[in-house]
Amino acid sequence: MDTDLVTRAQGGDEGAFVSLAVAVGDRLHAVAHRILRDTDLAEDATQQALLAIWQDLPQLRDPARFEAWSYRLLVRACYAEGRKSRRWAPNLRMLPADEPMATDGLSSVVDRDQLERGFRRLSIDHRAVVVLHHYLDMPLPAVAEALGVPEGTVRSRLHYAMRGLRAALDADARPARREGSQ
Amino acid sequence: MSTDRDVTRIVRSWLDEGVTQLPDRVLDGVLDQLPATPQRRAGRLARRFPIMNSNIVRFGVAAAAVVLAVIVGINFLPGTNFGGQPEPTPTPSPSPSAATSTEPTPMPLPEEFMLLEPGTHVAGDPFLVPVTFTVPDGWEGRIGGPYLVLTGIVGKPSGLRFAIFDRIAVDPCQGDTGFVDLPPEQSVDDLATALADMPGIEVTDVSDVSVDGYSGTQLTVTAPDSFAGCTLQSDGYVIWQLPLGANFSMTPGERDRVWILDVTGTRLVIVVTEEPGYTDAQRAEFQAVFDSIRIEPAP
Repeated sequence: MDTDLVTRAQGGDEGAFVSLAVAVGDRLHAVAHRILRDTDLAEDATQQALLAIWQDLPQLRDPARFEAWSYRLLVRACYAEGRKSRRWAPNLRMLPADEPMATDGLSSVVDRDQLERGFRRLSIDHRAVVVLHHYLDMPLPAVAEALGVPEGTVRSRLHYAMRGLRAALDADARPARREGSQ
Repeated sequence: MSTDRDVTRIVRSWLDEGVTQLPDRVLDGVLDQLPATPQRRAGRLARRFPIMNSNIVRFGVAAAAVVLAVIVGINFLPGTNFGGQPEPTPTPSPSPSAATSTEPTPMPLPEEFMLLEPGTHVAGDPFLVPVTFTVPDGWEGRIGGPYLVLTGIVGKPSGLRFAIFDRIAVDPCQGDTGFVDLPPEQSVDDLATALADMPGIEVTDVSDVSVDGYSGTQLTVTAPDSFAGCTLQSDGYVIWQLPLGANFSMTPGERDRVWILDVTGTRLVIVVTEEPGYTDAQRAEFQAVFDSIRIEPAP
């Protein structure tokens, strides 16, 4: 990340912030979508996170830590969006059909169904750890820094989350799309 | 049976699916709001800190927490609902069992809203009042900074607040009238009086409390049923503002129980927002959490 851009945005340079937002927007949105499992909520969370980044940038002491800091604000926004709508909790729905359906590693639609089901059972904090580590490839210490929690907490959450996802995958196969509501 | 490696591979592959691009309209929405979204300058924090002597704060915070714990116990004894009259006789030792028993090390309250694990949590650094309390399953909370702690039932996380502030709205209905600062050295009565004199809210059930040697005032604040005709701030019907700029606002008809405690010159404010939809079981949960509150170091 261009720390000069961060510094200029900290000083109130809207043009610099626009460049920052363009640079990080896609990634923030991708993370939010994977945490919340809902396109509308993810868009709202990303928008709120970007506004929070603008508002709080002057309080970021080290511009080099912008990226980790931005994920913290994003996860915070995901919490807020998750509280606004409970759609992500009990209402299971399949991934939209127009999204790319990779075949590598996913043996069937049943796996997706069960993964989706298992992931939605996790709390936002557990989901965030899984997404930051397994989607962004962030090392656990970096995840801990981004979330502002001890590394041990991150390890514990990751262990718990992966155990839950494994249990979901190992569950007896059920008819695919039985509960789909798209 | 899947191996750990299988699960990791499958999860990673699954996460790789899905959207990766932020729609332009979302970014446009952010940029449209920039002109009306002022940046929060760190200097505001720096200006406010010298007002409070750190030793006084540390000492006061500990004492305030003690007062808080006892007052909370008094007002949430069995049979006392959130909106009811306070107990006429201060009870020096509601002695919540959690406050005296030996417990595992409290879990630190997070800085982001999180579902809390059932058990004892401590709202310590950076919050100036090290409050410890025990929550059941289904509670969330966070430390909002040096001046704010929030906790409550999932979906209602602001049900219980701990706050330290000295800035109140001149008129919540006329947001452009701004705020007035109360000198920190003024008493809890000054804040209670200022709230009672504030237009646009109704203050009732005012009573003095004296707990464990510390004095305080408790009252009930009720917002009007409608804000029609008001010129609201962006945060709504704002009643007071914390030192870092966070606003406390009320919704139409909201009813809050407020405790203002004087702890060696520092005012600690506790707010319980009454939710009409609370079930008896949820009210019992609040009472249990209140009963579990304790402060370290003990007086």
